[in-house]
Amino acid sequence: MQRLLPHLARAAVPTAAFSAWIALLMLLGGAFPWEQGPDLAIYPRQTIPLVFDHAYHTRTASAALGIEGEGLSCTFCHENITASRTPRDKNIPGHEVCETCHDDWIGDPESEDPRPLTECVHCHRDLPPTTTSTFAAPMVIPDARIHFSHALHVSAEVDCLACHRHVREKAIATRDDLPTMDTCLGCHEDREVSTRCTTCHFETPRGMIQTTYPDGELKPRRLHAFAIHDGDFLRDHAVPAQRDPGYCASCHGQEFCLSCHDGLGRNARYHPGDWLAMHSIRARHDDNRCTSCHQLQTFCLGCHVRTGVATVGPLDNPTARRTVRQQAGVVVGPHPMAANGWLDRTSRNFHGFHAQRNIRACVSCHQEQFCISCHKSSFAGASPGGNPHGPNPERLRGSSAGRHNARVCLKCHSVSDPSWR
Amino acid sequence: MAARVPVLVSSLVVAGSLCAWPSDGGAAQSTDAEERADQASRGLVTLTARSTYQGYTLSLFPGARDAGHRNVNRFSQSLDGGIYALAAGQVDVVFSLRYTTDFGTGFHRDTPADAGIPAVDGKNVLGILYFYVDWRSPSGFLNLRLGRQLILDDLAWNEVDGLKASIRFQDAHARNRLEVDAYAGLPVALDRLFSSDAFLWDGTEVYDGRSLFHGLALGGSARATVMRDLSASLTYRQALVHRSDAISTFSDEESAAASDGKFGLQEHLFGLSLGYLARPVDLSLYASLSWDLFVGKLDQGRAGVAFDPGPGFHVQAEYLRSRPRFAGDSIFNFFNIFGYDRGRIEGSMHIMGPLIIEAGYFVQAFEGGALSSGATFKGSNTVHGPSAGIEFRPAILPMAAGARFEASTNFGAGVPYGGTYRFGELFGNATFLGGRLSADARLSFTTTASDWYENVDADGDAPSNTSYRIALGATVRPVDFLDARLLLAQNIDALLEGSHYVLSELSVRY
Repeated sequence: MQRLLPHLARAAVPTAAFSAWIALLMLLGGAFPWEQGPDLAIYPRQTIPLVFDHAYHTRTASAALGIEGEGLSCTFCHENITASRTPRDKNIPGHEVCETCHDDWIGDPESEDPRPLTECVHCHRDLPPTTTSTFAAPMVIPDARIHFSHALHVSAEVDCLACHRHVREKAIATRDDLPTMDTCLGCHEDREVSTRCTTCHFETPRGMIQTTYPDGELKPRRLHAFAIHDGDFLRDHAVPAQRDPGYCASCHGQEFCLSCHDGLGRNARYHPGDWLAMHSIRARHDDNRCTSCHQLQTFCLGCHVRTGVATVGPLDNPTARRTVRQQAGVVVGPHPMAANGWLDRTSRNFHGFHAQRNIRACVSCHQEQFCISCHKSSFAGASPGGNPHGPNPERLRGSSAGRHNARVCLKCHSVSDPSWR
Repeated sequence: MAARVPVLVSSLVVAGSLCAWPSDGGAAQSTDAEERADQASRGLVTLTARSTYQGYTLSLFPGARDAGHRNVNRFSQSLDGGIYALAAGQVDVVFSLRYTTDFGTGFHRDTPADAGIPAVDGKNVLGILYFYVDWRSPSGFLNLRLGRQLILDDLAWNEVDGLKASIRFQDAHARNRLEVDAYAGLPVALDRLFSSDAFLWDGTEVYDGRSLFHGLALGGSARATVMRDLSASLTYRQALVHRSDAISTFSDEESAAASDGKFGLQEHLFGLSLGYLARPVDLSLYASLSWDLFVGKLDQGRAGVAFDPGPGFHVQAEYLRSRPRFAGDSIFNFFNIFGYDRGRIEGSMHIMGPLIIEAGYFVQAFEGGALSSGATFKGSNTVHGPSAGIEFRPAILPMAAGARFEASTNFGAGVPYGGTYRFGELFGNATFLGGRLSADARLSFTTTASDWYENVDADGDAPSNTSYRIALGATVRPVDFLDARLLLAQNIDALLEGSHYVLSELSVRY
């Protein structure tokens, strides 16, 4: 980190510009305008062609009509709600419930509303004003795709407004007045009841949450866990997925991971534009992104060898250097060659500089036999290509790695080599 | 130059499905228990088949468009499936098979470099990614998995032929959770996941399918969630391999003989990861570390913070330290190599719903040691780059359009390690027929400059190349269980790729 600080200091201007850009976006966007209501996958779109005013009935109705009391309670109309144990119970009041009151006053000639008692349009807004037809526009309220029991919540003395917060201020109540997961979890945590996913969400026979519905995919859209599935989650999901794969398994099987990570197709999202020209630069700069789908050394090597880009085996292999060729009498290749100081330790082009910085780039084309060709130790302990171990190679003698895998030393050092012993 | 694009017809035959949507028209006053029983009766068999084909041409000599072209035709067929909830819901059988071929790349490893192009080296591999039986106790406390399986944890993805046992503790409210896994088995040689069929993890090649090692992989992890917002994991892995001297990396016969039949430590890793959700302020904090016990050095360290006040706003900053990791058999563990540091910030935001804006920036520092010769690295050790994107996706129209840009470049004139690139793209897509048909169009440019060419010692910019690409794609879903995708691209002045690129995919699900 200390080495990165000077570079970060150099990056102060672009960082400040980026911060200003984000601040500007926040200002442009207003005060966090991204509350998007309940999930369509859970609460599908509804069609409610009714005229109704919850505010009027539950709070202001008493004052307007001179009715004593504080307005109607929720259960006055939703009379079966205390026994309802599933969202399949729509719990929408029928005519008989409305007629409890409306037989008495709705056609009152003294009322400011002069429409006759039998006029359906008073509630069914899509009917012509004079119709007496019973064919009102259908009301469509699909089942909510969760497990839910009003009875359980009423018995636990959960106030209706705890979930349907703004319904007393509204006319028609819609899916927007149904609780979001934030509301559910907040209450469950406060009351110390289960926050297990399948307490509410449907479960597949595999024991996972059902996420695919006709109205869309069910995804965490807020910070319930580390798995908020916004646009950046594709890039940032590795850390939470590695730390807690069990959480991912709540919804996804391994085949879901592999549908992207198996590295079979060149997905334009991750391999855009002239990818073949760009991929080596990306890989040398941030090979961590590559390793999420490709095992670097063998995947790169396998492809490079099969396409004739890479070398095979030791340096003196006559079949090795396919992409090396003569151009105007000079040997050229995919990187500076010997004539340009690639093997010259006094040259600024020396290959060791590149090997030090990210040797994974080297091994994407060269096998270790290639390096061994020059760097192996002779009997006298000297290496024609120089000592690749860096300063103080003696530190490796008797090292933990050497003790636990003696074979690797034998690749360069003969058993009779004093430097091996 | 024309790409050879064979016409491939992949036929998929799959069978068996018990999946069905839950009925929307439920009976009034049904109970929650009835609903759960209804769901439990669905979907016991799944089967997904996917065919992928890519065809394009490689230009082996950058900038030389007169020779050295190779056709690449890659085809893969996957078959993923499972039978779930057998034996009273306690047993699953899950598998994933892969077949891949490239019909011959024109090279064989023993073909002289100056020979013609005999198409003799066709890749033709059938692999098993995983095939296991899963058993879980009725309470969910114990889970046993036997067979070839993927191990995903803080350290890596690994394949193992063996047994994994998992136990799980969870309080009644699911606020506190502890999961402990332990596994042991044979490490999968030439594992098909992320790898190649020809090279072992240390880069040595397996000739003619000769079996070169057996061994033992064991490890485990403990993952805890405390008060729902604090999570932590500890992970350990060790792999021992036994090899003969059949790989030709030993300097002499005596050394080869001395190495024959030896067990060696191939992997020895420890990982730690922490995460905390500060939900009142919408922050998530995380850090992870993996330590390579084999070489006694940091393997990878990462720390970051993200701000997610809602689904339409995201800001994240992260620091990463990464050092190359090799198999224990690899000589590169003992080279004088260095890791790199990378810091990045990124942000995205939905403005007024349909307008999505994102921006990011990274800075990266490479490191190297001094040479006794006094020579110094000519290029820059620092790389940085901005990225930005904008997309307009109106809710009332089934279409979207946008642009994005990213770069990996240098401070000043010095060529940074790894080279530079700039990439920009305009894109648009639309869906028709209620989502059954979608079309996608992209126009992009890519400018690259390598630090590996001859003038790296010279002053001034490295040679660069700019190419353009037009890509048109379409996906059709005539029925819910079938997807077909076709992507055609035309390259103009591409550095390494020919003029045409084609990708097709066909997937069938049950």
